[in-house]
Parts: sequence; C-alpha cells; structure tokens
Amino acid sequence: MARVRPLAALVTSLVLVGACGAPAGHGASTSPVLRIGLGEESGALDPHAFTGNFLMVDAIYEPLVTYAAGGRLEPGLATSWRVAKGGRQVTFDLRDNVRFTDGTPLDSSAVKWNFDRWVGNKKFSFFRASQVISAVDTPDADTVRLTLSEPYEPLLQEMSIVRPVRLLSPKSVNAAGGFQTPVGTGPWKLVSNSAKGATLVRNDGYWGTKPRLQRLEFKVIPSSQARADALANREIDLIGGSYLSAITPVEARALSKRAGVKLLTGAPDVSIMLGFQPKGPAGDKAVREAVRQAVDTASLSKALFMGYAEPARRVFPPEVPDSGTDLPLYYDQAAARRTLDAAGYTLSGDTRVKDGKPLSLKLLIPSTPAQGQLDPRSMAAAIVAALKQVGVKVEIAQVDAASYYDERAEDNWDITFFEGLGAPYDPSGSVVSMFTTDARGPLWATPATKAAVDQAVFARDTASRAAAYQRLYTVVAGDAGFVPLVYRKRLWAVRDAVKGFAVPPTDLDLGVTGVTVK
Amino acid sequence: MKAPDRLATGGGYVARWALDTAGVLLTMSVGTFALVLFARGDPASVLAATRAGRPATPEQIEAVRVELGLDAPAPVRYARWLAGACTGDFGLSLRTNLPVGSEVADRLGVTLGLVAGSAVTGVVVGLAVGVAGAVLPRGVLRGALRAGALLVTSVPVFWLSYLMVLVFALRLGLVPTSGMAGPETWIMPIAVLALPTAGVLSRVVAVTLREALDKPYVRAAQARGSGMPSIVLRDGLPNAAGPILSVAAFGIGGLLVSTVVVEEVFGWPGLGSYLVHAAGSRDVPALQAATLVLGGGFILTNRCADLVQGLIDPRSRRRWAR
Repeated sequence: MARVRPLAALVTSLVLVGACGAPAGHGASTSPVLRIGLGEESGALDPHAFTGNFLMVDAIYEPLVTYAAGGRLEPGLATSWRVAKGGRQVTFDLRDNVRFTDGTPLDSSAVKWNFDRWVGNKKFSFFRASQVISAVDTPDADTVRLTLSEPYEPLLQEMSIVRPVRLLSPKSVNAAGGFQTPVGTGPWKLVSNSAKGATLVRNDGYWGTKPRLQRLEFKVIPSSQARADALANREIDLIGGSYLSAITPVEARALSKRAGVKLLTGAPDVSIMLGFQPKGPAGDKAVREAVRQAVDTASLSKALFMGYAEPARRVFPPEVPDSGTDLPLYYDQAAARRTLDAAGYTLSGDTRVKDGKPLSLKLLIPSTPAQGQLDPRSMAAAIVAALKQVGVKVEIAQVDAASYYDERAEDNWDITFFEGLGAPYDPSGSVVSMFTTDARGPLWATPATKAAVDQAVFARDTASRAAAYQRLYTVVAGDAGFVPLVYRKRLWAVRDAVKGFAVPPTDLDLGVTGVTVK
Repeated sequence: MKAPDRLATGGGYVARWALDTAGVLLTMSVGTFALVLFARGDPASVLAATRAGRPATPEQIEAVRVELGLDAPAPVRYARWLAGACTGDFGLSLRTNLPVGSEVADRLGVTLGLVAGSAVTGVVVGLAVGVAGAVLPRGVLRGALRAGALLVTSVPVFWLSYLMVLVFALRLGLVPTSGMAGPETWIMPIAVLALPTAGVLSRVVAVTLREALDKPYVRAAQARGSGMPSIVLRDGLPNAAGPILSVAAFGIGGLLVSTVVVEEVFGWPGLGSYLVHAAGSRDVPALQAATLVLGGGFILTNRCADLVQGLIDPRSRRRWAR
C-alpha cells in the first residue's frame, strides 16, 4: 500500500498538471495586454478638473447615467431615476454593493461630496447643469435627490458626460480638498501615468462585466503618422477616436489598404458647417444663399476626406438625438449665379460688384489643425475655389490655433467653420452657444432661433422638445444661416489580432470590455 | 582707463563676468514673462474657450482670470513668478494640471540625453569622414563621401525622419517606429540628428585639414619619415582646430532646434516637444518655464565659453569690457 500512494499521487498530479496546462497553453497564445496609441500625455486624471485624457477618465470613473448608441440613456451607477415636480426634482437610486477601488462604499454621501465639488462652482459655469442644480440631498444611503432652479430636460443626458460628473472616491483628496490619486469605481485602475504613457490594470472587484484583458498600456506618440506606422509595425494594437489618437483621412486610407490592420468607421457625431458673420457682406441673405449653393459637398467628402465623410444635411448628424429632418442638398452653381444676379451683384472680371464694391468675403481659419483633423487650409482652399466659380472672392485669414475661438467671437470675419461638440453633448451642449443672441460668436442667432432654443432646452416632454428642435433647424435653414458641409466619420483602427473591438458609442468611451488580443 | 586695470586680475574678471551674466539672465526673464503679454489673444479668454470648446462668455473669462491670478498688475505677477522660478516652482500646467517644475526637469533630461548622444555621434562620424576626405586620393570614394555629406546636410530633418521610419522600421523591421525605451529606440533619433552635424563637420574638417597638410611643416614631417596617422594627429588636426571647433559648437547648438521635430516624430517626451505643445495650447506657465530654461541654457553656455576663453587668453577680456 505504501508503494501505491506515491504512484497515485504522481498520477493525480500529472492529471492536474494536464488539466491546468490546457487553459494555460491556450492562454499563452493570447496576450493579456492591449497597447493603445495616445496622441498626447494624459495629464492629471482628476474628473473635476479640465485635464486628463477623456478615455482614461472614462475607464477609471463612472457616471450615474451612461450614454448608449443613438443617445439612449442607460443605468450606470444609478439603477433608476425619477423626474418629479414638473422637472424640478430628479431622484437617483444608487446601485448596491459598489465600492471605489480604495474600498470606500459608493453611497449617497459620496455622490453628494462629488456634486458639491462642481455644483454652483464658477469654473464650471459653461456646464449648464452646474448652474441649474440648486440643492443635492441624501434622503438615505442609496438615494440622491437633485433640486433644480428651473426644469432642465437635458440634465439626465449631461449626467452621462465625462467631466465633471464622474465620481471620484472622497478619500482620494488631501486635507485641503485637492485631488491626489485617481480612484473610481470603473473597470480599470491606474498604475502609472507619465509623459511617455500610462498603464491601467483591470479592477478585479468591478461590479459590472469585467474586462477580459488584464492590462491597458497607453503609449504617447504625438505624430498621427507615427501612430499609424506604429500600428502597422505591430508596436501598438489600437488607435483612433477624436480624443485618444486621431487618424487623418489620408492615414485612414493608407491603413485600409494595409495587411494585418483593420480600419473601422463609426457613425458621424459631428457636422462641419460654414457660418456667417451678419455684420459684413454676409448680412445679405442672397450672399448666404449663393454661398450655400456654390459648394459641392459631395466632392468635398470624396476629395478632401477620402470618402471618410458624407455630405451634411443637418446641424447635427442623424445619429445625434433630436437632429431633425434632412435639409435638401443645395449645390447648384447655376442657381448661385442667378441668386447673385437677381440681388444686383454683377460680374466685373472675375469678381462680382454691387454699388461699386467687390463681393469679397474673409474666411477665418486656425493656422494649424487640431489633432488628427484635416488641415483647415485645405478646406479653406476648396471653399475659395468653389466661390470663385460664382464670382465671389474669398480671402483666407489665418490665426493662431490657440486664439481661434477668441477671434471668432470678434466681428473681423465673414465666414468660418463651425462644428458641434459631438456625442454625448449634442444637441443641448451646442445649441445655446450656436443659436442664441447672448452667445459669443454664435453660428446663427436671431430672436427666433433664441426662442426655439429656449423652448427646446426647457421642454417638458420629448415630443415638444423634438418639435422645438425641428423649428430651430427650419428657422436657421430658412434664413440660409449656415451651410452644412460634411459629416465626419469617426475613425478607429486595430490590428487583426485584436478581437471583439467595435467603434464605441461616443469617441469619449473606451469600449474594450469584451476585447481580446491573439 | 581703470576698467582694463581691474580686469587684469582673474578674480575681478570673474566677478564682472558673473554680474554681467546675472544681468543678461534677468533681462531674459523679463522678456520671457512679457512674451505672454504680447501674444495674440488674452490667455484667460483662450483658456476659457478651450475648456468650453467654443468662445467663452465674459463671466467665464473673468473666472479663469481670477483662477490664474491674472487679475493682478503685471509687475506683481512678474515678481511672484520670478520668486517661484528661483525655487523651481513654476505653478501647475494648464494642459496637464501637474507641477511644471518637475515636468520641465524630466523633459530636460530627455532632451539633453538626445543632444549629447547625437553630438558625440555627429562629431566622431564627422571627424572620421572628414579626415578620410582629406587624406584619400581624389577618386570615387572621396567623391562619394563628399556627395553623401552634402546630401545629409541638405535634406529636411522631418523628411529624413519619416524616410528612416519607412525603410528601417516598416520595410526592414530592424528598429521600432517610435518611442523611447531600449537602446534600439535610440538609433534612429540619434542618427537623424547626428547626420546633418556630421555632414557639415566632415566638409570643414576635410577642407581645413587638407590645407594644413599642404603646409611646409607637414612636408618636413614626411621627410622625417612620420606616418600619415601621426601627421594627421600631431600636425594636421591641431592646426586646423579653430574652424573645426567653432563649426562643431554651432552644429551642436543647431541640434537643440532639430530636437523639436525629432522628439515629435519619434514620440520622445523632451523639452522641445513640451515647448511646442505648451505654445499650441497657450499653457502659459509651461511656456514661460520651458522658454526660461532653454533660453537660460543658451545664455549660460555662451557665457561659460566666453569665461573660459577669457581665462585662457587675457587679450579677449578687453573686447567685452567696453
């Protein structure tokens, strides 16, 4: 018997090794790490400040309400919510048994502590929710009640954005209340963060679906061309998104032809538009109509955006909630010429003249593109060429990119480009600044557009809200107040080895929960 | 009449040098601080617009102005800033919300490493190719070296960078495309920076050395039976050293400028790319600190060169005493 036991032990252990060996061997062919390109160092990951890469903040911290594809709102750290008192009160039921990664329970006092950091704070005044919330109460540990100074329908959607509404552990600040370490409830935890990149590891105590990967390694590569090269060379696995590591249309086309790399396009969430300054020649509706008819947006999409855009027919792309109905495609240069002829702009040489003054427009652009965006100068050149064909002269005025928004608030231009903020902010996040008379440098603002915006933003129900938005778009289009140019597609690219990745609902999300790497 | 007398002693010279240097540095710090005052666009307004993603309202701009302390008069702000700068406290970056002092220190290390590596490589390669160009007989090899030197000095750094990425990383797979990690990641950035320096230097070495080798003392050395290596080392290079040193110093100064491009293409977190990003996003504290450190570095380097020259050669002290 004494001899049998060691033999039995040996057999047992061999079986065990075999049993363990199968998954281990299988696991060896998959990598637990996803390497992600990052356009710029993240900075401090404080959800209540203005720095910190959006997608890393999203991976670490969670909101009460989450934004799903098409603008559907789904439970996040709140499992349900009720709107009462004619829209002046919103009550959230918090998810049970959720803890921050430092062990602090997520309860109503933790939520209130977070809200108190930005509600009524002047730093966040551009964020309307911070102005309309007048009280944050905690009836019990699982319930948070917000009282609003006026009904504000977009509040719930705004509860899903990244900053400042994501929840930080109340223990991760110093005695003076200053942010110290990034601690949230999300699926990932921060390990390191520097100018070279950052590392996140899986939060094994996560309440929701745990990611299949163990680690995310973010690698800072400032040049978008270098990022595309690094992906093609298998040094990183994932790039893309407006806020992570943007891909230009030219790079997208090159990547689409490369073996071993998959280019993914997501539904556009931003329209690029041309706006007018009504104090100059563009104050004449005939001029605005002619500009709208002169630009061939289908060619712009094909030639400049390499097909990674489509002609725009709305202020916000169809994927954005309450974006209304399609406007016609206006392009018709013969009609543009007729419009200008009828308004008394007669051709003299190359340029039209009225009352002895040549019809010349100043096009304001930033001198350098934002990360991964098309060079504004090529867009500008296309506009110049289009308008020249109908006898309108365009002068390009380049300003330093940093001060571009500031210049746009002045009157020293006639036409310039506009974009929305994208999902999950639109439409409510952009309409106030684009269409109200008290905004600085709006896209098109008249008393009628302001009234429509007020009705939309403060609507009590979804039907009247949708009607108010539609009214707004109809008024603006009727005034020829803007030119819809193109919808920009959202571009992402992964190596073929990355399985289970789909373009996330917004470019602010890092949707890698189901992702594996072969 | 008195000044030259005092300067005749080394100690007086050093004291005068230190005082002058401090004056220049202080003037530069005023200039660095004032840069932001003259930049187009009010920094508070620019930052408020960046945060909101659109032109900001007057109240939002005012809130940012107070937050940044921009509501105080400029001289007060300058005094506060200089006092902080003396202790390495440049405030928080508006782009990252992290202390600018430690960011600049980290990134300065990266840039200095890059510059040192490429300077050494550039000088060694430039000297070797230059000496070869001087001693080789006229022929295909000498012509090829000369053409190669002209080529690498003429091509733009960013183009050379992408070309090397295309060939050595993407086609041949010998090195990673970007990043700063193991020794293999240093090869391309250093090569891109060192090649133009080496190119210029090799031409200067070749020409000046060939002239030196035509001198009678070289022929005398040859007559004595000295071999070529010892002639080049003992008679040629020392006599050609003046122009070679000044070109090398100039080339190394130029390296600092090129690091901006190379750091960006190869994703190295150095001071050059830091400065570019700070300027692009109007990150005022970061911009001022990086300008101060880079400008101060340039001034100190030049002043130290003056000091050394003055201590070695008393004649040169009079030149800048006036």
